[in-house]
Amino acid sequence: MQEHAKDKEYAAQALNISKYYTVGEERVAALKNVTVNIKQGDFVAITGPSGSGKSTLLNCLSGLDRVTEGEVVIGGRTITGMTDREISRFRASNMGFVFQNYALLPVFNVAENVELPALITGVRASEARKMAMEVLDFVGLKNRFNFRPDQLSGGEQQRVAIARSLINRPPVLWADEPTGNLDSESGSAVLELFARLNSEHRSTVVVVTHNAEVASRTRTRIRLSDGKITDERS
Amino acid sequence: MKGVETTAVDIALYLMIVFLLLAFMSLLIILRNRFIFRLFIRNAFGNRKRAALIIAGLMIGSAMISGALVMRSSMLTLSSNMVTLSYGHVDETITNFGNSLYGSAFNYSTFSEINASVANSRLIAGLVPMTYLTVSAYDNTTGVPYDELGFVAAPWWANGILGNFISVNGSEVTRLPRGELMIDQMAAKQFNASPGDKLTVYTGNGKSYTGTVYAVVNDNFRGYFDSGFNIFMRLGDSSAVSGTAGRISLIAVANAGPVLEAAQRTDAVMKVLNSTLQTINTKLGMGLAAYPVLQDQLNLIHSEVSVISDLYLALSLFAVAAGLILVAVIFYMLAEERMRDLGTLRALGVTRRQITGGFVSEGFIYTLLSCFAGSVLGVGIGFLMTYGFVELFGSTFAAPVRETGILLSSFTVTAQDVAIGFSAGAVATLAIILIASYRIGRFSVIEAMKRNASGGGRNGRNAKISLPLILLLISGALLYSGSELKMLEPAMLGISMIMISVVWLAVSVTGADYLTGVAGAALILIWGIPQSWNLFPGNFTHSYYIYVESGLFLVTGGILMFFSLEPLMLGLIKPRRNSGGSIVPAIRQALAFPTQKKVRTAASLALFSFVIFGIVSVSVLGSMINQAAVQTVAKQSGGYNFVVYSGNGGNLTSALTGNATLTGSISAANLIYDVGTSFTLNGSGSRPFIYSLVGIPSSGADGGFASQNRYEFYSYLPRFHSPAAVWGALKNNSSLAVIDITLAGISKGNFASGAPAPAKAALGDTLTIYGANHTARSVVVAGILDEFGFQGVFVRLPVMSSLGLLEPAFPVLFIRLAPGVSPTAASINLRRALTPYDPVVIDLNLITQQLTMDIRGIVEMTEIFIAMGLVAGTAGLGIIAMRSVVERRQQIGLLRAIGFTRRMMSASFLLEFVFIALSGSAIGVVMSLVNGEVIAAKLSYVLSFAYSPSSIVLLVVISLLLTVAAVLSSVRAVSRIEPSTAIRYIE
Repeated sequence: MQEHAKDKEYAAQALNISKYYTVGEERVAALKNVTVNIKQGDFVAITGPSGSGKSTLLNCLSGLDRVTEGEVVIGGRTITGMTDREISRFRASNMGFVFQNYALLPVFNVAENVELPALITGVRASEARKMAMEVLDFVGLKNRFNFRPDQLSGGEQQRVAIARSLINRPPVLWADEPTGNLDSESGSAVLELFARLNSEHRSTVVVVTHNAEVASRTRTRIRLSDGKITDERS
Repeated sequence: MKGVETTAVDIALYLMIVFLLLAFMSLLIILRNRFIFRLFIRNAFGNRKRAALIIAGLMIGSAMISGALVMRSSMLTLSSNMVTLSYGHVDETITNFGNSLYGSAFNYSTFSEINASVANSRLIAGLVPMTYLTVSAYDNTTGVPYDELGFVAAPWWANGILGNFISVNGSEVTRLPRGELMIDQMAAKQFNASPGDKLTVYTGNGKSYTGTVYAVVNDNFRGYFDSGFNIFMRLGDSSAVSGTAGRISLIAVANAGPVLEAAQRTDAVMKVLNSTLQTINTKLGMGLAAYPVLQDQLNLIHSEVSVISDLYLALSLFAVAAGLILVAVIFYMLAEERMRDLGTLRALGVTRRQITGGFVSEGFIYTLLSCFAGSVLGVGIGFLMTYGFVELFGSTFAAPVRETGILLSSFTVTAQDVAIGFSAGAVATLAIILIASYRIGRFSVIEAMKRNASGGGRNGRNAKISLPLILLLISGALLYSGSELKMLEPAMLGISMIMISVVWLAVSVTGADYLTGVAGAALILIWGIPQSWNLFPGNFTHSYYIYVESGLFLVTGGILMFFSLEPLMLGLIKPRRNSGGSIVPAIRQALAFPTQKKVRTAASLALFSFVIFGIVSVSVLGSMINQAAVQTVAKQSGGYNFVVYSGNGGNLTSALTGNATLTGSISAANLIYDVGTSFTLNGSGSRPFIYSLVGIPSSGADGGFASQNRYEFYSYLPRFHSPAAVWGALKNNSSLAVIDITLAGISKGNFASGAPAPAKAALGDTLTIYGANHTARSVVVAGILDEFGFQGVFVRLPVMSSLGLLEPAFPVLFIRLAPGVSPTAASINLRRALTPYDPVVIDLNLITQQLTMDIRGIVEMTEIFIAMGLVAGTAGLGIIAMRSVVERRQQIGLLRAIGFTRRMMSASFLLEFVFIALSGSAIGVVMSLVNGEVIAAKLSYVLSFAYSPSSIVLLVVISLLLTVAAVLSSVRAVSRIEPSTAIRYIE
């Protein structure tokens, strides 16, 4: 694993990354020579129209997808060449994810969903449960710990997903359209949580959104179009 | 049998070791990933109905294997019990110049001498002097004759060695008055006799004896001696029947100890007996020999049972194959269903290995439960199959089986059977699950998160090419080893797999899907055209497993072809625009989905086609064997209905003509004479051999055989222009002979005994016949008959007379009934008329009926056995249907929103699954017919192609009904889906 000591001030870096997909006979570029430097503790929005490559950039940055060219560095570590096992372990300890569709496991209750990442990293079951209750308290759902996902509203499910993303105290939290399925009130509550995380826990939060209001709540905004960064401002 | 048992124990042990290793690996995975295990277990039992269907589908393999094995063990025990029932405490027999039961009579004093010389052996419980003959008898009280009875005479003291007689009322028969008779249950049933009846016994020496039936005895170890239908008498009185006072025909030897334990001492006892008999033979100039009757029969019947059970195991492979496909289908579908959850897990940091482990642990639980249930079910199947066989062959031994309760006591379940059934099913299931789980673990996280159901694999270009390349290498190795070993099975397997891997490679590189159809067609051509097997030279050997292999590849070819013919089929089936009505869009919808999900559809087709193939193949094979058997009996009968042998000489023809009950019933009654004598072929210097000499009366009332028999000729000398000319010449020419095909050494793979030909006589060869008083005559072979049912060298009767062989010859009467006469009624009248001549009446019509009934019985039993595999097929479709309801919820909502009625949705859904079941069944039926044609072509010397359309139609209808039953709840669920909620549904 390659160390980038001088880049440790950055939570995540994409260095000249490109991502190509093959559709039939055609090779389509989703990202073209993109370079992004996300500072530690920043609150970033990746915006752009549909098909601009927002989600692809998030997937590549978070190691969910592999880049075709270039390099991705997280917390000073290059993840581009990691094996599947290494990247999986790294993701479990260093990243949290929030998805538009909440992605809760229906067979588990709220507490079991939340404690899952802790168990993956080898935390003892009793300790994981304690940690889960703490983060559930943080998102205001401690009293719902025994509910099944289908017994919760959309906003509540997304807060459970945020709690799950927090349990291992990851330095970076990735969120792909986290308010896309929520009404404005629930969406605001979720954004408020991200803001608190960013300010109180100094977590780096990266949100993919096409919602201007959501983007306006962040500190840094990166705009993509046709797989290229067209604007970046803080 | 010890070897077979050891093998079974070894197999059980190896399978258990493999299973325990897999189980240990699975447990390690479970313990290392407890939270994953927890997740997958909850998934497993979250839907109990589905879990039950999965377990039902997975247990088929274990059930079929353990069922076949339990049947095997039970049949082995039953056959052992039947053999011990036949011989009881008699382990060895001693006869003089004969076989195990019959020989020349010898003096009682010889018995005394043998008995004295083995008296000190602790291995032997005792020796019993006996007279054992086959006789005919007539019940004067009931008026019923019977011609195949055993006459068993032993001293009363023999009860101490061979066991007591028990009467049918359960009490011991303590005495048998002098001169009176006892009969066993089977004989009593045949005669409708009871104690007090007067029975006249006829023997081959022309004597008859009338005695009173003192008791009817149980068909136990003592009463069922040999094969039942016995008459018992004191040895001291038996000369009244046998005509040989002071002489016996058999010595029964009982080993020390209980029956089966005693049989284990046979080898040691045989050494003692052989040594004693050698001394006595030398001293007295006799031909005494000892026979291990019990042991021989046990070995013979055990090998026959093993052949049947091996066949069942081979046939069960089709159902097991269907079960394994079901396992793979189930796990891919579970993965598809949970794809989004799995994507989430991967995003949270769960590794591919952990995902694989999760599926393995879930599969492990399913495997344990299903294989346990399967083994238990297999025990039940084994019992039913055993019971069925006994019922089927009731005419052979069901009476004593039922009356002695042997069936129930023979039902045997051994630990090895259950262990092999459980472990084989578990190992196969776990192996498939491991492969499926590994493939599932390779999915793409991004695709999974997007919940793209078709994004199951993550095979890169390298993997796409490397897998077919690996298969190609394995195929090449198989072809090479097959060629080296000169074995057709691996060679043909190698060729077939080479074709599949090359096409796979081509499809991977070019993306041309239609090439799969080319592979399918090539497989069908290679396996379906018998000539293509000649790719390998004739010195390649094969077993009947080649036809199992051909079946597997023909069905695979059919499935591959299905997809290439799909556009054509859909074009034909697709409704036209002007056909109108609500059914049109429903049909379109029904046919669209199977064509989109090719792998799943192929698996569903395979589930049905393998099982249907197995069942129809058995039916086709049964039809062919039945046809061949009936034709063979008809051909061997020479156009006659009865063949009557008489050990008593006499004028059989006049006995018939003088009988009023037979007037007008008989159109031909042709007498010939048969005697065994020595021959040499082409000169006295050649090795002599014993064969039958058949004398044909050429004139008078008995002179009709030559002109009235309908035996076909294999060949005859060119100077004769017709079969009639050959027979005509033989009637008048003492230097000619006609021989049967066996003596010509020509094997046509027929149902003959398989005994080697004593000589290979050809047309024009000279046979020298040796008669009494050093006489000899030579005859030239003028014709070879195409039959083996009645073997012999046919000459005109004066030839036999001149050799002094007419006197010892026994008459054989060939009878043809007049048109329209019932063979059943005629049979009874014939037996009545001929009983005084101690006849053996062979009813060829009855033999044909019995053959047809036995074959049909075996076929039906086997079909039922394989049909249990249909559970796999229907359970598979049931699971797929349940999954489809969930998977297509949004689609269903949309269709309902745009105007599909509930009824249209149900119809569409039902049609889709009926289409799959019907297509799978069609592939199975067509390929089994193709395979049947191949078998008929390969075995053309004995079989010709035949099938029963009605049973095939019935089978397809049953499979469709089962399909409808399996998918009905899903069809109803589809109709209940509300469009408003379904459209918003996200799985």
